Amino acid sequence: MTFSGPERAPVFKARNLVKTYTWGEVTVHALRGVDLDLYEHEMVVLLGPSGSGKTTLLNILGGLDSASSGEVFYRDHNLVNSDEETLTRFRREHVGFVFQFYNLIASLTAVENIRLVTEITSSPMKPEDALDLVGIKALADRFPSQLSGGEQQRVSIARAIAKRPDILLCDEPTGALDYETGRKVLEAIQKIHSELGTLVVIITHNAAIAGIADRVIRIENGKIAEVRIQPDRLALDQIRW
Amino acid sequence: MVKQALNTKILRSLVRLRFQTVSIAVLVACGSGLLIAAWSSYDALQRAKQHTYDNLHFGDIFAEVKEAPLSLESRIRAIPGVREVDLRLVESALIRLPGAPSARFISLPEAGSPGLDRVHLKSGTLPASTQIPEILVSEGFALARTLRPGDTLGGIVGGRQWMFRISGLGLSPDSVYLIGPGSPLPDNTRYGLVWMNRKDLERISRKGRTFQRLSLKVSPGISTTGVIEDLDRILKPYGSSGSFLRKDQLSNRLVENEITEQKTLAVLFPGIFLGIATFLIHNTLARLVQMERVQIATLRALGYRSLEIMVHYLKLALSMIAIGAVAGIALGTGIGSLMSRSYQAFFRFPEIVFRPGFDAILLGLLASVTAGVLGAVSALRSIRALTPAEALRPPAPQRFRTGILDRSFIGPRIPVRIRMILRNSLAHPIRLAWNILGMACAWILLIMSLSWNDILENLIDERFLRQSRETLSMSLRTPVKDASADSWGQIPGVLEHETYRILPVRMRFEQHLKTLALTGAPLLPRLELPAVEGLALSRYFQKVWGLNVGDRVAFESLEDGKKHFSIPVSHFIQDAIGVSARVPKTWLHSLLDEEPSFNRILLRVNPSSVPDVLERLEASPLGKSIVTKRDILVSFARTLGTLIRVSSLVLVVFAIVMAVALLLNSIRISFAERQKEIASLRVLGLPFSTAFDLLLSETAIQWILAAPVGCVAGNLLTRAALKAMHAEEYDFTVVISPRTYALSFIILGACFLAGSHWMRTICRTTPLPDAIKTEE
Ligand SMILES: Nc1ncnc2c1ncn2[C@@H]1O[C@H](COP(=O)(O)OP(=O)(O)OP(=O)(O)O)[C@@H](O)[C@H]1O
Ligand SMILES: [Mg+2]
Repeated sequence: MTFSGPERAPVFKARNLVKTYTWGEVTVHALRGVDLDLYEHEMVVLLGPSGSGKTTLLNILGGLDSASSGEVFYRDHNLVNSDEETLTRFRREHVGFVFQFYNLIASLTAVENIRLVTEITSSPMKPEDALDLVGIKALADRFPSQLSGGEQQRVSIARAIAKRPDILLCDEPTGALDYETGRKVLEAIQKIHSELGTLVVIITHNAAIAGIADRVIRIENGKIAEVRIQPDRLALDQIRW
Repeated sequence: MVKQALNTKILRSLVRLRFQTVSIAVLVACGSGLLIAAWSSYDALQRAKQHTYDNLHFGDIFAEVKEAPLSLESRIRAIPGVREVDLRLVESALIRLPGAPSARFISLPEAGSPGLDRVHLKSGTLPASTQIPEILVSEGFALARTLRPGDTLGGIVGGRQWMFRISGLGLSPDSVYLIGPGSPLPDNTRYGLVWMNRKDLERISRKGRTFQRLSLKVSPGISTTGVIEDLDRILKPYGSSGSFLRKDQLSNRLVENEITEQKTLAVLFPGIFLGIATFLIHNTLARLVQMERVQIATLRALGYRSLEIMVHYLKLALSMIAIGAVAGIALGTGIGSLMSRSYQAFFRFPEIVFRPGFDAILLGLLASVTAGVLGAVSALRSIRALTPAEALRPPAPQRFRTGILDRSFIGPRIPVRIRMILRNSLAHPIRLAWNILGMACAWILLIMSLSWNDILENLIDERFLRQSRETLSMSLRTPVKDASADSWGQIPGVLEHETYRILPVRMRFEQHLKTLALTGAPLLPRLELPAVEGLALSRYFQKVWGLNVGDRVAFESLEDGKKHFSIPVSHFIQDAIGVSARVPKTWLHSLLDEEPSFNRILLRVNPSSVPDVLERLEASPLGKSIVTKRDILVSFARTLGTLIRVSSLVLVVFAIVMAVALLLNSIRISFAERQKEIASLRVLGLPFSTAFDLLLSETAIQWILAAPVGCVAGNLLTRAALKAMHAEEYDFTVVISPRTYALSFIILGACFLAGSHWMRTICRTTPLPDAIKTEE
């Protein structure tokens, strides 16, 4: 899959996006006017120092949080000012999330965690297939407490992609994992990207991982500091960290 | 310096856990407050009693006789061990006031001998011998009838009409708790004491230099049995009903009874309240340790010993308790003085001084701290098990296993969301049980406190309406032939009449001894139940004397011509108030070797004719006292009823406050455990309300399961509590009305709705990214 040119319609279009947090008298500017377009079938990596606003941006794109001002369009829908109901539907139908700390439901087995999603979406894949896609079909009936960190993260990815989302948002998916396991997780993400053509956004602190992206966006101090286009992105086995 | 950092952490935790802090403080405040209140009023009663008895020289041994000459005094004084003797002239009378209350006229000690059982002058002056005889009236009666010094009062004494002037109001140590003859309860409007100078009373009663009542004091360390024997020998020819010790003196016995009950109250309910506080502290801390396990492991990795960390959390718990204990002291003092004041309704001490004693406060603090330490220590043991390595691992998901449900054939059919709830509930049965128990405690509190009213209402219903159907009862001075009963039956308006033979006796079984009235009842009574076929005694004797059916009980008649007889017990009956002994009337006649006769008659009267009938009866020279059912009910409501209502109101208010705190806290705890899951479900695209309701249902399941547990436990504990209070005077039946269950349901249901609404607000206002971030 190659990078699709800017002539294509963007999936996300953010304009002058601002997010401030107020704590009594202190105001934190998490985002200070972000302009950003993200396109279909893209693999994007967000880099930046800690506290620069990466998670905040991802949460707004995914409809978990709302911006203080500015605009975010998902195709034709303005996410800023959308009500809870619209955002919920948006998340349910279009977005898959992967967090650093998995966030699996402890009382449900791997396959049930996935079923939680497939039960409420319109054309999901079979939970077993989702697990197969991330390479842990054999672990379907284990509870999260019976899985390793990397396995839990792969269940979490399977859960995110089982609904065939248009967008997969990953916040430091390998942050808590060792090299080998982190690789497997990235493999899974990449496989999904290539097989389903999903728009994938990955936040990472690992600059090496950026090699697999079509575009690398660097955020600093709440603003986009640099956008690097990588027309010949690397395959996973070409990078090491 | 680092310790300072930990102390700052305590303050932060108190604020962060403000709801838990408040609910633990509320529970502790209620528990220690009630303890302080009950203990201080126990103390106030005890002190008032001691003070009154000492200052007014309450006697050690008492006796009543028909009539004996004052000249016996020297012989009585000569009994070895007797230190002081006090002989009084006594005459019963009817007062010319609406309802014809009766009074007992008692002579005041003659000048020069201050005497025993002295009268405390509450207001006015001592009686002077003037044209119109002056009298002192007992304070309770005077207040109930709004009599003041200077008022005049008419009465029938010795069969003749007299006018008296009230010179003052008084109190005596032998009438702190004053009950009229034939009445099961005190009634200040129906019965009072009147003191007057001996000279005046001798004149109007025409009894001359005689005495009817005797009180004496013995030297310390003297065997009272010897004194009683000697005294009985001297008094025997004069119609003595037998001398008795202070512990059998009616007023004293009832006062002691109440003091004992107060002590039980001071231990029982605060015990339960503090027990529940312990439980809540345990739950809160166990949950806190669970939540902060990474922090704890980190502290250990930093080099803290687990003991130091435990002490840290203990300090946190004790800070929560300290807030409650301070509030408890204020609360206890307020409630305590209110409770002591409610005793004035039927205890007449010269004064009841309420002061929150140092010991009561110390006790309250001690109990609170014990509760806190117990609750904390059990919760903190798990700190030991946490290793420093825990800090370095990512937070591990809770453990679950598949259960029977999953293996059964319906397993796969259950939607995953429901399965999640079921597993949450079932996979941790201990935690589930714990949560349910917490909520059940709220039920227990409500049922235990609300049922007091049920018990009271049942008592009135059972004792005063179903078991006794008469309109009024009349006691006679001496027994009259049964044949004359018909003349009562013929009074216009009388629908039914029934005669009884009452015999004052001394009852004996092994080392136990008691003076009481043996009732000879008709074989098939219509007006006063239950029917008796042999000797029927109050259950009290079974419980306290250890009597069994078939045991022979010895009786000694205290009427003239003492008769002795013994009868086997045939069954036991429940007397809600007081104790009784009943036999068929015919037995009594043959035992006494007398013609069929009666000295008590019950009448059922057409309601419209009651005033006329009363007027006829009051005019009868045979009458000693007349009590109407209405009077009894009114006096019950005013005295014991008030007391029970006041203390049950205190309990109900405390219980509701505690139940609400407890339930909200339980809801809060079970939600805190699920908040992150709700957020996760929302991220996956479940609408807020679906995700919320799903997890609400888990708490709802606990609430529903807690209901039967709480009802059953509340029922059992109420029974146990009443058993623990088995004072001689009360043997109540435990009834818990549907109303009590319904009210508890409504209160706790409302609480659940309010609590879940509150949680909904919290969940809704917590931004999703924050909720996801919160560590479980
Ligand atoms: N709920 C919040 N309340 C207040 N301030 C917040 C909140 N969430 C984030 N911030 C602040 O907003 C800024 C951006 O935070 P954000 O989480 O987006 O950073 P990040 O780039 O993801 O950092 P990291 O790489 O460490 O995860 C930070 O300064 C942070 O302190
Ligand atoms: Mg981040």
